[in-house]
Amino acid sequence: MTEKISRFLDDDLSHDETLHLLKTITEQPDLKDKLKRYAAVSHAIKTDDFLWISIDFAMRIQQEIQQTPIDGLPHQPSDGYLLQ
Amino acid sequence: MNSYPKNSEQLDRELVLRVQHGDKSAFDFLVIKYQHKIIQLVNRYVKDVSDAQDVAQEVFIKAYRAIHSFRGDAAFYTWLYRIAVNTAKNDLVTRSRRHSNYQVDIQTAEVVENLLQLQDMETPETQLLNQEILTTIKKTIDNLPEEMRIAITLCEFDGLSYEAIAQAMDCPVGTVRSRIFRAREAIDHELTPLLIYGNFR
Repeated sequence: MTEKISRFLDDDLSHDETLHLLKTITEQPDLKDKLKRYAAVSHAIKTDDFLWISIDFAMRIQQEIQQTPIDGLPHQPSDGYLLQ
Repeated sequence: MNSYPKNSEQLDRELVLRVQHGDKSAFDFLVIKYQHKIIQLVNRYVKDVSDAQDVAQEVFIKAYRAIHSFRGDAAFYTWLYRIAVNTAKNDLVTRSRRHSNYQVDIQTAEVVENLLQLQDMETPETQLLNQEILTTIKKTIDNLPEEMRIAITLCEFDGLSYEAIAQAMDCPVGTVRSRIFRAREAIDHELTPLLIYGNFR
């Protein structure tokens, strides 16, 4: 799976592989950390700048959107992961 | 790069459609997919990393709120990119107004950006640690076996696709994937103790 994270960074995964990886990453914090480190290193190599994403970045967005209706749509609860 | 750009756009369209039908969890995937790109983009305007992340969060929340208006005429990332640039520029204007009585409009955001770039946002300790991290990355790349060093260099510095690297190195694409992965793992192995020491979480 970690090799797929490397390939994901380089847009080398197919549609289904990407979807599966994204789903797995949301369930496994270790893989999310690995992606974060790979992405930070990739950016550092290109720019000479080490840019680290805080641990709660995605979590804060998630919390916010749970309470946020989409413009033009009635508020609906999450259906969970529909695509397996 | 971009061996699968159409697949990637197609996946984005599917995820957006799911969000538009009320599946909020599909938006989490889009956040994971694009968070690094958006933070890096915003950081070009908002130099303080913590502020840049706040602005990037705002970008995703704005995108979520407006996702019903996304029709798929452009790629999702193009749409998100525009929201990010506008949000970052607006943030610069708002910050400049907080510090000044002068009226600043969106066209002057570039000027404000240049001024903000001059500000030193990092502590000496952070600067030192960041420097050490960059040195470690460079040293690790220098010490990689030649085939791994060339593969990661062509990928990261030159932005070549795996197919192009395979042609340049006269080897199968699978070998390129493996070399780039092993190079990243080697860097990760050297870097992890520094990140733990620096409390990067």
